[in-house]
Amino acid sequence: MKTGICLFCSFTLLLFSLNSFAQDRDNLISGNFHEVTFHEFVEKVEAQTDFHFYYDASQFDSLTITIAVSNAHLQSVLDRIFNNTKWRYTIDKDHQVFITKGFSLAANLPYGFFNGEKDTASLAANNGSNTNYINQPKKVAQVISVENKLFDIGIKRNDVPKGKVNMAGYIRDAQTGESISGALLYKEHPHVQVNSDQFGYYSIILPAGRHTLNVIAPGMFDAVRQVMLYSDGKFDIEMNEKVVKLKEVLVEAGKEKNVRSTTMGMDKLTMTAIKQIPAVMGEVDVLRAVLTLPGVKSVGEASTGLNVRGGATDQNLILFNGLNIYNPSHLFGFFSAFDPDVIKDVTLYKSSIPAKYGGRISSVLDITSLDGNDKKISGSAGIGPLTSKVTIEGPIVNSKTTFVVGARTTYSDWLFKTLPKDYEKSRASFQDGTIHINRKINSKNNVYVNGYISGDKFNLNSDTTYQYHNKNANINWKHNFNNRFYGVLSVGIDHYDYQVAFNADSVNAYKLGFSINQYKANLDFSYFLSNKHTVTFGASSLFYDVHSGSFDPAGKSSLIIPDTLEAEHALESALYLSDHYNVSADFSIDAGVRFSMFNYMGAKHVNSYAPGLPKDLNNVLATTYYPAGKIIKTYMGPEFRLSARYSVSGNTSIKASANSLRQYIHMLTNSTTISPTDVWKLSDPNLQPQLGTQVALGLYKNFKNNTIETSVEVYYKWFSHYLDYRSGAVLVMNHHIETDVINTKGRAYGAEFLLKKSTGKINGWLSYTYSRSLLQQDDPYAAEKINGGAEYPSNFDQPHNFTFIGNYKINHRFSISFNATYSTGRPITLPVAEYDYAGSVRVLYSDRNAYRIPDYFRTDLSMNLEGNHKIHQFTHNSWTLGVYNLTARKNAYSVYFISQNGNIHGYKLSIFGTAIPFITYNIRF
Amino acid sequence: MEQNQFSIKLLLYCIPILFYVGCKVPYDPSIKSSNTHLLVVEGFLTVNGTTNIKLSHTRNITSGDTAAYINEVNAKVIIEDNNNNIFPLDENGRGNYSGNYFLNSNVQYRLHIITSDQKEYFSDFVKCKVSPPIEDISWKFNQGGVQISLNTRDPNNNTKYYRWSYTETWEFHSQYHSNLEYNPVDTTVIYRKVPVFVCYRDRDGSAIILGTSAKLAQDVIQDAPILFIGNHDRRISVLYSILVTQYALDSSGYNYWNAIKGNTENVGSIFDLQPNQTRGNIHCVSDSTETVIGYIGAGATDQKRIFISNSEMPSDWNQPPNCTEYEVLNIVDTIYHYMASKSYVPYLKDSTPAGVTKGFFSASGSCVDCTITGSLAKPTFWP
Repeated sequence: MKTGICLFCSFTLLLFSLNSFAQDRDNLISGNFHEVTFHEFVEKVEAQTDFHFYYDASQFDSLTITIAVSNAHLQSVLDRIFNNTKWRYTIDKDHQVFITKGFSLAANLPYGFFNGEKDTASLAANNGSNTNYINQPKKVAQVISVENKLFDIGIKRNDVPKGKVNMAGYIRDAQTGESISGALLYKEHPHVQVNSDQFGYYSIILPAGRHTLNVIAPGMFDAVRQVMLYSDGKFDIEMNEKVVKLKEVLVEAGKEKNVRSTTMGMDKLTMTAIKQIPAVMGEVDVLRAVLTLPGVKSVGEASTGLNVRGGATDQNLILFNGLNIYNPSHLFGFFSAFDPDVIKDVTLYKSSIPAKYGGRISSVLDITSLDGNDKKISGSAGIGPLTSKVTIEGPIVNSKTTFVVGARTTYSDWLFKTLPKDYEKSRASFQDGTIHINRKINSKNNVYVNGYISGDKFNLNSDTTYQYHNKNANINWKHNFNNRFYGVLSVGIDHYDYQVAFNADSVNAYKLGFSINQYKANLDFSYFLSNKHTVTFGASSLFYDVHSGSFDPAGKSSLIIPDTLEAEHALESALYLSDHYNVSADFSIDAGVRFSMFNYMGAKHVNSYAPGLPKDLNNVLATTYYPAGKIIKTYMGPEFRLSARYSVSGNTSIKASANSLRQYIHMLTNSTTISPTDVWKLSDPNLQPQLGTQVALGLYKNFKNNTIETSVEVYYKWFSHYLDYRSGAVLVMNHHIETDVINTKGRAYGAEFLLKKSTGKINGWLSYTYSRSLLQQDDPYAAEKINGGAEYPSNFDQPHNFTFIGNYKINHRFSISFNATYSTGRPITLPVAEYDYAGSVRVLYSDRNAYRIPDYFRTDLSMNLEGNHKIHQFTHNSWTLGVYNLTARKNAYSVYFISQNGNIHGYKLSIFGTAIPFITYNIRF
Repeated sequence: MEQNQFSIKLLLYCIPILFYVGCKVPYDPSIKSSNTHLLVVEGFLTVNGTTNIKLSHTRNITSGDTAAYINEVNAKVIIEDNNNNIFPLDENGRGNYSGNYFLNSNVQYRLHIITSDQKEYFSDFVKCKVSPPIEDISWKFNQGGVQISLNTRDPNNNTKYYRWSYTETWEFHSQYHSNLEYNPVDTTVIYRKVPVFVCYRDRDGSAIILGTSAKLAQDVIQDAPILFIGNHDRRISVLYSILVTQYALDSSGYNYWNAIKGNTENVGSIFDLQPNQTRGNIHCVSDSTETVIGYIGAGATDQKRIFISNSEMPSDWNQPPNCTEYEVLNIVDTIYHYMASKSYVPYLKDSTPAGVTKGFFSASGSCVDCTITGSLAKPTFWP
């Protein structure tokens, strides 16, 4: 082979090149080249002459040459070809031609290199650009070559293309092939920008011609691509993950995502950020990380139930790869049920909720798993005091199909054996498993399959066993109709159940069961109409099958009367249309409408109650039976989703949003935290759907080259038909639950201040939130009114909240994370009087939530120690050690008064009432 | 089985378990005091025996100070039936009112109260519920202690809701036989006239014990837990007896008792319920919004007593009490110092061979004199 095409050998061959070229008579070139590639040109030249070309082929695949020459010197031909480009050439005395970009080679070693002679000549200078000896590392050179390479998009033409051209493709991680959602792709002058969607897919319309595109994404090095647009085409972009550089100060530009994006009240946490937050017992926990975000609270440390901007825990739609997870907790609520090693990122929508989501009125928590490494099989394993877990990902057969599987199990039983005798018979265990398969059928069709399963089982020193399970699966087919238009069809099933069993040999032995099944189909379309308009629309349908409860005898001696509540069925359907409209570079609007309809269906017996009277069994007018499939009651209504952004300047913007939402399912719970025996109940003729509305306004400003983000958001929201319960309400196995619930309305408002530095050696955030959450019983027919019908604070009304999350990378292998949280104690109902009754002192309670538990304050510290950084080794390992609740403050979870031996005693209950050290060991392979 | 049987009684003081370090600490929040003293009515209209009604008032939470009883005295308390017959109760001090009437269990009764400040209260009319007999009371060793349980059944399937109260009585012995006692008149030690070696003590239970068979095919209560006595407990050091009284409730009475129990006994878990504000069935005539505490039920009760002897206990049950012994010298000041407050009680003279009393072997009071904690009077039912 005559041509020495060698990707990087131009660098290594450098030292061989000595004198400049000598021109020979017989090395003249003739030819008529028309739109030939550089490679073809080189072949012809090499055929005619004895020149040998050395160049990086990837830099020339978009260059075409049209030139007619006759007996020309190579030098003059190359001068004509490369005139006004960045290409440089060097010809040495052995007739070797080196083509380089942006710099030229010295065909001689510097003057005096061998003899110590003085440098007298301007040998090095060639066209004013750097001449050096190219001893840069290989890796950097590759980045430069990709970023400087001009990519041709569409069908190439010789003349200057005209008109508008659409370009679309995927943005991916260069190492693992993971798609990167939420990446921002933009060009300057004039400013045009698009974001990648949840598949990492983008579509942009630009004038034909040459453009420089910038791509930024959290946790990734900013990428730049040179494109030459001829006609519509595809262009995938790979980005490099940010790795910690030794003694490097990163100065980054382009991180103005928070300022640029229209969505407000959206927080995205990557796993990298989540893993830096010190965790209880070293268990990296997605929901606890979400709890550090402004506006998100829980009633206490024993609960991972989220209260988002004053909403209840059942008002959050928790989606894991589109699977609706009903009970996202393990071990009575101490840990979240998501294996952190399979998760890519977590997005919380707490203000403007995209129109494609519906069914819950407070927030959407969208958890996305990894896509699976398409380059090689890799995995990780972790060992902690409570759980062990393993994750494997990689391509199947070829890189077209990738998978991720993760499994986690606990061995916490031994913990109970260390406890005092009272608890030694307790047992608790949990498992979860996740699978995600991603198959690229061809450039137009992708199929994604997701599965999730989790199980919990425990007993607390008694014969009563509690179990609950989530089982979910879906399959999604994404079809690209063309560059600008794609659709996703997904069908799935979500299942949640629990069982409580009392298994003693007793007349009272029972089994209690509850389960909910959801069958759903979604069709979502995205149409990139123009750079000004991106339209999304779709339809969804969800069929509920709720087995509200069954109560059965267990064992031979049980006398329990079998009792089963009638199953509930309903169909929830929705249509939506939403447009992202860039009015100008500075002003954009997201406007969406979602129309949802809920059909409550038979077979079911339904009580109707006398209007204007309390709903109790004395006021039942009739009980009507509806056969299977018959629609009993239909609720429907529009939901509006509006948000707008106005950029005051490049680093400052104002956003506003207004949202309304509807929710047709209610969680019945009488305790302050989510408990494993909470029942889900559909809206029916006697229980209206919950309605929620939120308006919000925000100001965003970035400083110091966008490395520091600040924001202020204020919101006001109100919701109605939230359920409260009359005293002594029976929530489990109740054949007429409507007699035990009371309609409540609520409102919440607050202001959230955030200061965030997401890059650099020191990173983290600082937030302060002022928020209120108030409820009021507005049911005119309720037999009893909480606090006499006056407004009262909800269980999660914690007005002041201050959070600091900090991470300091001391060096390549060692980093320290620290966080601190302060919040007002949650409201609690305390006794105001005592009296003697039944041989003991008893207490009389105050108005609901008239008091507060003591304020909460906690600090945590953790250290992350990485093993060595050799890239090629069989396993990479790391240690995480730290202390949860460093100051060992006994934070109150609750305050209560209890009768003991005839007297009343007040106690403060703490969950993590001491400093808890932890250590975990993680392996990646 | 209770109504809240499905709620998880996680009386785990500290779940993360490994680090079981005092997660439950006494706490005394500052609570605004209020000046309202609501009426508290406790009692049961007994058709086949003595009806006792106790009237008192609520008081401020005073960090465990239970001395401040506010009893309602000089009130008029009358049982009324729905045929306009009245049965007044007699006041016998400290807010207690009682009467002994044979009431007809086929009619409905209510309680009528006129307090000393002339406020008038009525309970709802309630049906009499006659308790079926207690089938048996049994006990067994369980988790290092004695678990006392009850079985009952109503063949007519009428009762469904039950409440039990109990009174414990036990015989106990001093650690030392004593033939001496301190004479406070002249600060001397004299021969004891009445022996203080065998005593009896009784105590009413303070827990609310409820049971229901509402979800069962038969009206059967099996192994309803009444009381648990931990290992080494001195109550079963000689002979122990428990008398259980069984009340039949209606469903709203059961709910009321369950609410009180839930509010004051089943708390402290991580899944605590909201306080239950269930109202009783007593109302103020002049102000229907006034909260009146208490639920009046009516009917016949049943009682059963069992005995448990120390000889039935395992050998490691008996542990010697923690007695300190001391020889009090026969000096007036010393005798006074140790014996006047009964911190030491003499049991044996220490005499020299010549017959001079050097001192008195003594031990901490309750180890010698059982009357410090009990009574010498043997109950009539004691075997």
